[in-house]
Amino acid sequence: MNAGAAFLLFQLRVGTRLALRILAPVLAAILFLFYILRPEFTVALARALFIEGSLIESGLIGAFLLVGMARAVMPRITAGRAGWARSLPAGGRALRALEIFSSVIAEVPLLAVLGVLAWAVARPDRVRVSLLLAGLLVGAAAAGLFCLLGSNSLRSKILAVAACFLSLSGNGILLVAAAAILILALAVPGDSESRRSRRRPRRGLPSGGFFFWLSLRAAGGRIVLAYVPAAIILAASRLFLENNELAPATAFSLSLFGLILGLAVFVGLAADVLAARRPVWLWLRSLPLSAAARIRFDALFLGFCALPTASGLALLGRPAWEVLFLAGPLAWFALRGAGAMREAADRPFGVLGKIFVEGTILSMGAAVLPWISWLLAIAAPVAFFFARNAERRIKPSLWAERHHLSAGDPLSWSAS
Amino acid sequence: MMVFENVTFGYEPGRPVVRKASFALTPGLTLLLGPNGCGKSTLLKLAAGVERPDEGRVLVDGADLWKDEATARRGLAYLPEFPDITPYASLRDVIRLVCRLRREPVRAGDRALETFGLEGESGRSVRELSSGQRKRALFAAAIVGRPAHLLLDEPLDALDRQITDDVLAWIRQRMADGAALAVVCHAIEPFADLATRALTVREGLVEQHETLPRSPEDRFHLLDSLAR
Repeated sequence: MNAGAAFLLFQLRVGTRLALRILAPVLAAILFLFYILRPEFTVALARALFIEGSLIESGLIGAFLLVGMARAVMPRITAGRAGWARSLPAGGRALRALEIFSSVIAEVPLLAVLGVLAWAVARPDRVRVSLLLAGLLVGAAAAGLFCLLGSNSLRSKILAVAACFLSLSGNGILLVAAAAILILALAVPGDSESRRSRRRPRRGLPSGGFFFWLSLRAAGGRIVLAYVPAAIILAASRLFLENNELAPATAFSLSLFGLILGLAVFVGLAADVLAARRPVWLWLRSLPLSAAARIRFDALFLGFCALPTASGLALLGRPAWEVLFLAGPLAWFALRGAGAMREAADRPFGVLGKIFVEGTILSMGAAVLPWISWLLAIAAPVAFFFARNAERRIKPSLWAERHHLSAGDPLSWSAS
Repeated sequence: MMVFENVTFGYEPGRPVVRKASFALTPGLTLLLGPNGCGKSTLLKLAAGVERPDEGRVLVDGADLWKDEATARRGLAYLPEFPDITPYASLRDVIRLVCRLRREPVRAGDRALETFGLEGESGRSVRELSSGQRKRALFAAAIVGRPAHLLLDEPLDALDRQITDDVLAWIRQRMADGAALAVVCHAIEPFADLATRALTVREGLVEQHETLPRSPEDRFHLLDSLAR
């Protein structure tokens, strides 16, 4: 067996194993779609995506879906890519193509669901069904290339996302264009294949900003994804307000509920990203910096990043001064998030699980009794106290002591 | 002086790694010896404030490591076994952070990088450095501000011969200045003649050997037996 065939077989197996793992959540999603959302609603969503949406709408929603799927799958496929895999006798470009192939295989259960939905809504037009099914495959491959970690250049990423955008248009010419762009993107050499340009030395950072920039660099673009669920909650609130005639007090309560819950969800997700990307820095704990200061830096980062969610006030048509009702919850959740980050590894649902439960209860409470927002501002020092104690309580070397592998366990499903 | 008062610590409940440890790290070089997994590095992490004791307390010049956190840590430098520097900052960023926290001018950080031959690498991220260079970077951080307590975990691992000699010379210099050094190591040869006292952990209990034999053979024999 030659090296190419061996790699193909290997990546096929990797993709199949991942696909089998994905089956359970996919089956759960199917049950959710049909028994909770009902088939009519699901079909209406599929119709909006595959039939009725404009090129931009279908392209954006489709690209978002496919990239989301690839983002979940790709790190599992590329784990170890930078190390041992590179010592194997295969070119970087071939490795990339095979990894993308593996990601498409891994996404087969999800693609099958989308394919069935596309068939259900476009059944009378067989050509369109074929184009949509082919578009799903091209889009999945393009999304895989977009999410390939650390080996593709910005140019290939831009081309990949463009191919992904065009793939679900249901138009033959655009599909061919998407496939051509994808091939072009694959031809762009990755970082490992091109000559690496020597990076210019970074400028020193101003004193106060060190930890902020450190967190920002660690979280990177992933922090942007944390805004999406918050935006969905705010959009749902907006739809409810638009489609129901509510008394002013009720509209205020509903807005407050949506805003506080959106804030909590954002902080929970952002803290999860930070906990995963910037785990406890052991050595930092030996420097003259108190646990309180470390919590303060993280809470400030989370709070600052959460500020854009306050713009939901405008989306919900609320006056700007009502932002005062968000100050308390913002401080509370930022501090709770900073504290929960220290315990994220021990929680099955991470920081988000904890903050979401707390956020749901508090947002419902604040919707009924708006003064709870003020109470949260007053209670912020208590959250700070708990967070500081959590920072002191953690045993940061526990994981390494148990596993003796500081880089993480590559066999773990959660490793990425 | 660093004092451990009835310190108990374990990674899992009911399985203490260190039990009721009470001792002092006074000026001079204290060698922490013992077989793999006996708790030497854990002891150093407790001394550095990386881990918090489950019971008892650690005092650095009278300041509690977990009550007066910043003050207690200002006078200590910790060199972990695995060079643990965040990949999201350049070396210069990290060294400047240390300078600010130890209230030293930025120039002191630049000098420290020069001392360890890293002046040309200061703009680079830790991801771009070799393991030995990362260790040198942490040594550079350790010398900023001349902290009086130096906690070194396998300090000579991954260093080239020249840097090893430089580090040993620096350790001698710091000892002459009256600093308290605690060194975890398996290779006892480089430190045998420098050691002031030795310390080992057996089944969670810390044994301290305050005086070491003067004769090089006896001294080496004792240290070797403690290390096994």
